[in-house]
Amino acid sequence: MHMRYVILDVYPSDRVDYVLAELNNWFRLLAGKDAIGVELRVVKKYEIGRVIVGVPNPLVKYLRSAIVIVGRSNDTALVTVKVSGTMRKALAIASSVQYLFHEFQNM
Amino acid sequence: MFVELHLGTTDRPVINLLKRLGYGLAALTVGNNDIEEIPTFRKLVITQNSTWKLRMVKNFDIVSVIPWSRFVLNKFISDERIDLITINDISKNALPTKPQARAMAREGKALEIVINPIINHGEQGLAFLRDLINEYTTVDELMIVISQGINNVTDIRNPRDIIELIHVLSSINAAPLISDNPYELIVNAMYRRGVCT
Repeated sequence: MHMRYVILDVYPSDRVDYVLAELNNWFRLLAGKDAIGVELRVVKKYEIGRVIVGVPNPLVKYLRSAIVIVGRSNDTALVTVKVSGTMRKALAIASSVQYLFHEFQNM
Repeated sequence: MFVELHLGTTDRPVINLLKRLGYGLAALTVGNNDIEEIPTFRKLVITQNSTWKLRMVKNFDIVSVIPWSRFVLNKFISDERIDLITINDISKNALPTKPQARAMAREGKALEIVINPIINHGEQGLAFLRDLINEYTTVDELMIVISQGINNVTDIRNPRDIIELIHVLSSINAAPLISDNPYELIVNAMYRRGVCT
């Protein structure tokens, strides 16, 4: 199946694992039976607080919706940087675009 | 270009992040209007305990009211000073009825949905948001705008993701609700106040 790659920035940086677990829960809840047999695939995690998640193309809308919902209960910000159609491009963007929350890091 | 009509902070990094996400206009619900990064307008939000502030409308660019009952809503719908009716909680008691929504459309009042406090209620909030959008998008000519309701960095989400969420919930294209509609609302409000005459 064709995949899409979502580049996500998480703040604070150490909440990436928490965010991924929550995203998975909400993604499954929103997608319902469409998510049976589908796993969100973590392509790469960056220490700075960035992660690339792979998801089948027809289900990307559920992942993006889950992103709006997740993080509210424990003050975590997560913002989609870019959605890309190829992993190569996603990796290139993720390593070149500045971390969205860079201005908050030293506060 | 996206427009945020319920911005509760003037924190510079927050504004910079909004700008990077494609926001080009904002309405501030707090004072301190010295933001240079994007054009901002001042928004007066009337609540049950602050109706006295209506006397200060001249100092603001847009005026919204968070209704606390349907009876007061009737009064505000026909009040020329009000530009939009804001919904920021999952209480159904003060939601406009269908006839009230039609009257709002006739009077040129927009309906603003501030989604952050609603989504904070989890599944219940999502169901409420879906019902709200399904209910009011069927009212002809009623302008609906969606604001995030941003008070700090953790409230910020990518507006493109919000469009996807609304589409998943109610199958409508929410792009105008977060860009063209609020833009038009600000322009209308400026005309109404005579800024452009």
